[in-house]
Amino acid sequence: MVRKQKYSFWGVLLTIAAAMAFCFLYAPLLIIILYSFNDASVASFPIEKFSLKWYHVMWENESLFEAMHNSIWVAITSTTLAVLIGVPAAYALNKYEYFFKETLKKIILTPITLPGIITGVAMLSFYPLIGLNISLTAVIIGHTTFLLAIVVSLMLNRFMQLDPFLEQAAFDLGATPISAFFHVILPNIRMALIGAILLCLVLSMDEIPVSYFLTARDNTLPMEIYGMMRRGVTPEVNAISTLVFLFSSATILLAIWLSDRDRQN
Amino acid sequence: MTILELDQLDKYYGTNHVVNNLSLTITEGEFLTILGPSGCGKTTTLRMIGGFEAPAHGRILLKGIDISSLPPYKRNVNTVFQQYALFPHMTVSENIAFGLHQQKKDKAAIARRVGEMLEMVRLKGCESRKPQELSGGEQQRVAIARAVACDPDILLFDEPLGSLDLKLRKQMQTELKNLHRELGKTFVYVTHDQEEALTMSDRIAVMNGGVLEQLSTSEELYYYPQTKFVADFIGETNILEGKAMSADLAEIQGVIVPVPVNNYPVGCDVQLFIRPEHISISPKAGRLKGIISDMIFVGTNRKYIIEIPSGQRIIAAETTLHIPIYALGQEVWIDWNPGKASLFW
Repeated sequence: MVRKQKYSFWGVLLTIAAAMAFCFLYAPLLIIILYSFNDASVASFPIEKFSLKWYHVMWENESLFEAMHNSIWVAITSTTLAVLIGVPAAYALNKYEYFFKETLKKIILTPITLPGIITGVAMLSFYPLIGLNISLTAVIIGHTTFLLAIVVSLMLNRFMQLDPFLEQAAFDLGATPISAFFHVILPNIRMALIGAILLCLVLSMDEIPVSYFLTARDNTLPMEIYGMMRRGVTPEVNAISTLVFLFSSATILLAIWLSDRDRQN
Repeated sequence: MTILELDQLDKYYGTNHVVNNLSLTITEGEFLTILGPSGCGKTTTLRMIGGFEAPAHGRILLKGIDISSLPPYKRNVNTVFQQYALFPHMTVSENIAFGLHQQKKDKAAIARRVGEMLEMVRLKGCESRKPQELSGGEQQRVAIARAVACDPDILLFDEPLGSLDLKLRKQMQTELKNLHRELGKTFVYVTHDQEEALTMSDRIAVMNGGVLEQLSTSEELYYYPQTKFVADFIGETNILEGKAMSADLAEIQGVIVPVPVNNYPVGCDVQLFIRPEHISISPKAGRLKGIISDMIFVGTNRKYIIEIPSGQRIIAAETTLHIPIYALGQEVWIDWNPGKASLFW
């Protein structure tokens, strides 16, 4: 007996809602990508002529390149710092027992839940107190702070899944803590670590609120784009946005793929 | 020759006294099992020998040298962990070679030793497999090979057969015993399975509540338990309540019977422990009268359940005859050799 597939009212409604959500998420992005290839100076539809004109214009915009350079520098530096501090922190949070451990865990993870604007304002008022003027260095420290929360939470999760006896077995077989970390722990958390690094790079590249308060002369890329927008959406902005979008999506997809592969192993 | 000496070890988890003033010496080449119910402190003791837990007091002497404050990687003992803890990112060969790499042995020596180990645990051909591609029994053998490869003074086993099914467990028990004979190494083995302990060990240390109850051979443990816990924990036993009368007499169920010489106060409550195989049944005469209330055929012997007037049921094991010699409901007498019973208060 073949049972007829019935479409329930709520099922249909849910599908429509989901489709609309996707639409609102991705349609604007698609439009931007389309417009970036539009030859005309004014955003208009239908597109009469496709060209790479705005990519050429973008290519010649030096301040945009400067900003891109700054962004990459900030992303790489703050990610490196966040990993160097965050991985050992997550390791210690997982391994050792001390009475203020839970509190410490919450303190490290709080920046994730705080709105970026609050973190930004707080840093803006705090950094001068410790003699740090707003600059690219301040931006790097700001980014490191919130990336640290990301790295710690992702890596803590991974460490918790890791069999604690693996490390003990390494010690048992004569490995010092350093050797055990590099030969046994690291290979087993490698994928999660790469995933965390990629996520950090993307988040730092896209970040606005903290950068907004801490940037002096040297703009990061999102800040530069934001600045350009004040003169209206130029097709040039569409071109750079398309590139940033592609970079971000590729990185995120890579991170997802790597963490999936890690789980399967 | 003594290879390992535990000297008055104490360990607490919070206020919980998990290992209490434990002292024991282990002879070189011996297969010693620490046996006890879960939470008795046996695994903690093993972990203190391995260096994963630090004793609160006391010393651990390996070949006469105090190692109690050394980290695990500076102790020449290796552990076979309960869940094996094989390195998932390494092949079988790499797992076995890990300890040798840490010792900075040269490549040729490592390759030779890994080959020997693979041969020893019969895993030739699995060199380049990953642990997760192996069966439970094979993983177990890799764990053993990895621990043996470093040529430790002592091999520690933390309930290594716990996760295997019964048949495989029996097989591995025999393999481990053979391995012990071949290697001539000192094995310290932790288990809660008394049968496993009785079959494999040269000596057994029975622990309960953090205290060492008795340290002796399987036979002594079974036939001459020194504490009530051991008498009850090891094997099947009948416990008869009574009162002490003198140094070698007690009143049990209204009958005065000879008991092992003791210095318990006269009139105190005592318990007489008698193994089922030490109880004999006779149709005519004996110490206590009873009625056959049940019979169980278990292959190697036949168990008779005899109900004595107090209502207690006594188990007697007789070597199997094809036909039972007593009938259900038959009135019989039971007797036992007083020298083979144990008395506790």
